[in-house]
Amino acid sequence: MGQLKSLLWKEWRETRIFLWIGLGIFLGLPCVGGLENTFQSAHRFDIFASPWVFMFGGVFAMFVAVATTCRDLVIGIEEFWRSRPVGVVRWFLMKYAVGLAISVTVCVVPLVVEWMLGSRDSELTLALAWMPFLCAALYSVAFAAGCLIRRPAHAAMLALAGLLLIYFLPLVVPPLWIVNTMAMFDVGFRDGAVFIIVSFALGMAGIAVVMLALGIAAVRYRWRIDAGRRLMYGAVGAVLLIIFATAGYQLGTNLPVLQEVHLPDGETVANIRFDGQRGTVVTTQLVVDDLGRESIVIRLRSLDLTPAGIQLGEPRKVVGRLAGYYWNWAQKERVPRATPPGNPDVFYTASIDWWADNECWLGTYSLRADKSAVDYSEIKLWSGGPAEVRTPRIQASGDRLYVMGSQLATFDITNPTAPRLISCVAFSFHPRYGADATAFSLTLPGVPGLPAEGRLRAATQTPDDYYFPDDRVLCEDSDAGGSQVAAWRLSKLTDNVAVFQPIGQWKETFLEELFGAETVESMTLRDGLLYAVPWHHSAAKNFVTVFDLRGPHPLSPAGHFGAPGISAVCPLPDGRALIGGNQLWLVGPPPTRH
Amino acid sequence: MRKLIWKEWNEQSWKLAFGSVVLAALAFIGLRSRILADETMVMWVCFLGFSLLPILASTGLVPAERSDGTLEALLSLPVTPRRILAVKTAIGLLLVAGPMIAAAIVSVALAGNREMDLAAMVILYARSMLTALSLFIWMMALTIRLPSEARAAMLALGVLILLAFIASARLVNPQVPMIVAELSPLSFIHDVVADQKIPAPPLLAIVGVQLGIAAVLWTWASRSLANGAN
Repeated sequence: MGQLKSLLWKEWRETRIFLWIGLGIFLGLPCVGGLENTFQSAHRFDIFASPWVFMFGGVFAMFVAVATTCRDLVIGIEEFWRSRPVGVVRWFLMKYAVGLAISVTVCVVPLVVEWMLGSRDSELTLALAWMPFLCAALYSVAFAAGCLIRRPAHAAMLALAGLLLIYFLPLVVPPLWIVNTMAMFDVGFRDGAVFIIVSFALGMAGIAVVMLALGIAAVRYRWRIDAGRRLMYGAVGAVLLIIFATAGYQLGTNLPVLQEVHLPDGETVANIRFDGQRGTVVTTQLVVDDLGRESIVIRLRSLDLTPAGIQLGEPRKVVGRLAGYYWNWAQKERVPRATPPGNPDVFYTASIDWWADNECWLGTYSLRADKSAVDYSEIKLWSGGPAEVRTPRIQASGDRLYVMGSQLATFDITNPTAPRLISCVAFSFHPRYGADATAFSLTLPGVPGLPAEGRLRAATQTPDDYYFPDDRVLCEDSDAGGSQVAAWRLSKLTDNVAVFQPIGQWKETFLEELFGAETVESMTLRDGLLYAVPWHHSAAKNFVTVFDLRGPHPLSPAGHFGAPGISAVCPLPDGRALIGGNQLWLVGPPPTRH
Repeated sequence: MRKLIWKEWNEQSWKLAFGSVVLAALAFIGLRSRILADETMVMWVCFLGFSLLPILASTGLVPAERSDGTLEALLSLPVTPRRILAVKTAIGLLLVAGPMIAAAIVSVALAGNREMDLAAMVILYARSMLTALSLFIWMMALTIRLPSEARAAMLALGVLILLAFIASARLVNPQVPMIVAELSPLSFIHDVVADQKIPAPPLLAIVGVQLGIAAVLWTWASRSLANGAN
């Protein structure tokens, strides 16, 4: 026992500095941030140590392991220790234990403090279970690297390569799913979270045991890797390629491209309307004149789908009100609008002028029969009153049009191009949704004369919500903490309430965030395939994500399609889709529908 | 001379293979999977090429040999230091150009005329290669006296950052004379990164200025090496 105690004392004396440094970084810095936050805004002391621990905890453990091993494996010192009456295995086991205890303490204590101070986030609670095992595995990999290479810088580089492999290799090799670290960050959303965590812990423990055995054997039998430039460059290069290949495998385009139609330089597809055989493609082009003034040129092209593929007609430039009509039309569902039944060439929009005493206006666009011009009229609905947060909701049903904001305006649209105001009364509606893809009941707005289905559409007529009445599916996108999509299915619709059951939730992974597109701009659903279209201003990294809502993993991406400037998706009845960006593509369905 | 070339090739050929495989593989994976827009992917490959390859090539020639302790033996051979440096420079230029050419071939084969015009892609690679070759001469000359590869890499990185600042001076202030931008090899890719409203220095002007600078730097480097031998 005396020998062990001496070894423990020695290792603790030499390694304790890392404990203070680690706690200073992972606990001290978040505390400083919490104090700053307390005095500036929140008036409540909170710390957020988890981002630091998740990002750098493994790197810290790696440095501790390399320092612990290489310190005593320098020529001269190693021979001195081997000459002592201490077994090599016992000596290094004590090294391992002390270093591991310090690494795990530095990683776990800040998470515990954050949890105790009130952030009882479910993900944080679960992280307290799996983080020590991840830390142990990463520490053990670096421990083995240190024992084999014995030069700190080289061992650190090899350990870093090992760290990256542990993080990213499971993403591309399916049998390694049990040690998929990326999946642990949202394990709370998955079925069988306990089983996943236990499997992960066992997998990481297995890695730790194997690496510990390798390290001990390396020291016991004097194994050594002569780490030269080639090994370092090779290791770093190989890991770089593996990570990139992982990203390519996960995020690469896998929708088969059936046809590409080139558009002139600078033109981008803004919207596609297609009835299965014929349609219209709206393109936009940013033009800068000699004086530096920018303007958007809108063009229309007819679209035909023949057995040979897509055929685009000649471009027709539209100007004036007609351009405004198609520009509004190109905004898709982001701008609430309503179309009178049986009149697809007429639509109504409601807008608020916040600068003019919250005036609400109804705009009526009516495309003439020859499609050469559009008639536009405006009606002022109300002004004053409380500030409106959202654009008013608008729905048409039968010969009635309803505009719902701080007031409820009802119109007679017997003549669709000339709506006649019937009434305008005070109105209030604040829907509440479910959180984290749980089942919820949505109270429908009280609009006399509007059927329940129409009131449900009005309730879900927000920039982040997409209700697909044919599939009775509601989807919501959010960019809080990264891009997220949640989906529910309508299970019950009464006169006052709509009940939704969760289908699933998707949250973009680290790789998707690194390489992926900006937040979701719009979604479209057909035949169980949900297409999430990115915010098109990010022309460089831009891809469509396809979810199969009918499989066992509904909100797991089933397909990706990447290309510059993607802005519009039009699914076809046969599973194919038209995707518009700086070109027009006809793509097939995802290769494997779950 | 032939033996000198063989010796340098024997020592450095693995870097040529490594650089070519990594850069070409990056281009292949990125363009094949279409994880990014083609133009963005090609720009990233070019950026990695002209930022890392000159550092990799320049630090491994003289500083690495000095830290291994073999430079004195090499300089004591009956070969002028100028010739030694000429061979090392030639190998270094090959280490820089080879991987860029490999990546360009892969990119053209996979994605030429797909999203990006073939001519535009080739021009982008050509300009990036010119940038990389110029940067290599700068870095090789300025790190020739350093005793270790690590220090040479740090200095080379500093040179890259400084030249990037010089090249971007006109982007920040269009009043800066064009000759200032031409001093930096990164002006070769001005058209790619800069706003069209800020005119790029003429290509021939940049080539001329960089050739002149390269000649001066190389002469200075060979004298440094010769003084080291004496």
